[in-house]
Amino acid sequence: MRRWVSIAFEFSTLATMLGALYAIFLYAPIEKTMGIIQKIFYFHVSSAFLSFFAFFIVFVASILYLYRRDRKWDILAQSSAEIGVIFCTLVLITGPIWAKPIWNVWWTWDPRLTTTLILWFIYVSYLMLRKMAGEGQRETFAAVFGIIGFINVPITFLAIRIWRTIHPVVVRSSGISITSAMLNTLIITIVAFTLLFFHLLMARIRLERMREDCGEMRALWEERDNR
Amino acid sequence: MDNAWYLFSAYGIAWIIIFLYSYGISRRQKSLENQIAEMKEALKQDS
Repeated sequence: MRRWVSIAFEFSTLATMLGALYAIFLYAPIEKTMGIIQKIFYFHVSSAFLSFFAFFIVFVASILYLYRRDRKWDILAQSSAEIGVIFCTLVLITGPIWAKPIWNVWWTWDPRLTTTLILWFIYVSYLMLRKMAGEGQRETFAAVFGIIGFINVPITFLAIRIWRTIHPVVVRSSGISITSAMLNTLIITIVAFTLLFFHLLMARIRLERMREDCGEMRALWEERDNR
Repeated sequence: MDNAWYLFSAYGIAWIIIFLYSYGISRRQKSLENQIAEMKEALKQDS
């Protein structure tokens, strides 16, 4: 039964992603000022949304780990952080590729770009801390880091409202500054990316559980050898 | 035409990164499956 659910989920993810690509290239209109390059928007914003979501999961799972001391929360935090870094990397790659033809620079120390880069460094550091911390301390240090690191997520999100910025603003107090077709396409792409996120998350958690099983078996093996 | 090149580069790089990550997980899973299978077999033979 679980296998069928898994296959159905993978198929849904693929179908939704294909639907998103159809919407991006064939349904959504070409933006008047920026032209076809504006279509990077759908992947760029979706990646940003999913990276924030992933880091939120790290935040919640870290709190739950410190409260319950149950390894499953640590596994969830670690897996989500890794995938969050992947999506944040996509933001930092698609953004400059979009910026170059529009702003004529690959990078500028704009508040939104700078805070996103800081966010990326924070969670890369989280993953490095996990590799370098000692046995028994790793999970606790990572949980504390995962909670504190989340502070930068709302700062990054609100950067375009707190500081003056050249980064485009889609959601304003006066309303949403894109057409309904673009908004529909963005929603479909975010849904597709969310399904992709959960697909990768489940695979990553499964990998971590297998690694634990392997470690336990190896310990049993060594115990037998030592007898 | 130039901007189309930027567009397809962005999508291409994004897909490559997602694919490489997914493939990496899949490869490590397979390796662990093989290790677990070998150890189970060895433990079975030992007992």
